[in-house]
Amino acid sequence: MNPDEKNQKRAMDVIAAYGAEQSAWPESERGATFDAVQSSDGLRQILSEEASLDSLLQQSARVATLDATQVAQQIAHGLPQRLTLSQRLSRGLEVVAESLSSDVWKPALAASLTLSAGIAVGSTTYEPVEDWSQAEQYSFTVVGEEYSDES
Amino acid sequence: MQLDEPRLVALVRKGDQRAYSELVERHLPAIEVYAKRIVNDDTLAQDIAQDVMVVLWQRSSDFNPNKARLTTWLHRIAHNRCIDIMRKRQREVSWDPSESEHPLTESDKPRERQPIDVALMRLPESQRTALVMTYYQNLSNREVAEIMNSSVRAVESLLVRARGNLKKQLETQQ
Repeated sequence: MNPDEKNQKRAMDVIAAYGAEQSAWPESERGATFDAVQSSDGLRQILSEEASLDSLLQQSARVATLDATQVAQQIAHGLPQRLTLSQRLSRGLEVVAESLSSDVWKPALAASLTLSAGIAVGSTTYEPVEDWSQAEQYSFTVVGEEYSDES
Repeated sequence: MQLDEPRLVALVRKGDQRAYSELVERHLPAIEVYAKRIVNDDTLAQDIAQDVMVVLWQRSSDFNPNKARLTTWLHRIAHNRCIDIMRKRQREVSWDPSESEHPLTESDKPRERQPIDVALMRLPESQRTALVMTYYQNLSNREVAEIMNSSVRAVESLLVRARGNLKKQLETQQ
């Protein structure tokens, strides 16, 4: 199959699938399909047959009857949103941020944050010594040295 | 100034009801008409469309604007609901979607059902879905393939067969 025949075959497939309206053809193939139709009587015939079907498809009578505003209100007022964990956290942080921006709560929040930070630092830096062996060794060494000096 | 959809979805995530209303007004009509064309039952289609909007309100965090357009995401949800309902109905009774169980709504009555509507409803589910999404919902072949968990080639094949079947049925009706 030479390139022209290939293009014509593809144009035939495009028209058979998407119909005669150029706007319905895949955008990337619109130009090539149009060119192929221009150079082929057979394709023009197929195009006119598909145009008849397109006009029948246009007669299909289906209309939307729901009131979009009413539907939106009913759903938004009547149903809670299901939030993911990250959404819940971000909403929580938003509430904290709003509280922080309020002048009334600023001093109290600042004080409590400072206190919390102090407790946190204190509890993480204090490490009770449990191994006294090195300290004892050191003291024996010091006492031993003293005795040796005397002798 | 109109806000773009990813921004509106971000606001919906924070519980913004105005942003949600804006998105419902933009997308509900298309989703309702899509469901009507697929299930051929106006009441059921309205329930499906409202369910999709509930998902938009409750699970907007599942939508990733870097992966798909909002309309594609909503159509995918609607498609899955339609498939679930049709399969459930087919299990319960020998349900033929071409024979609507419910009367036409007031808005549909003046125009009555066209032969093309009857022919569309007689198409196999996958062919009808591919055709409706591509032709009426203006979704790209890639988007349709993504929604149907299929390839672009497979969608094109469904479209060719759908159009061929429609022609045959319309010839028979005449």
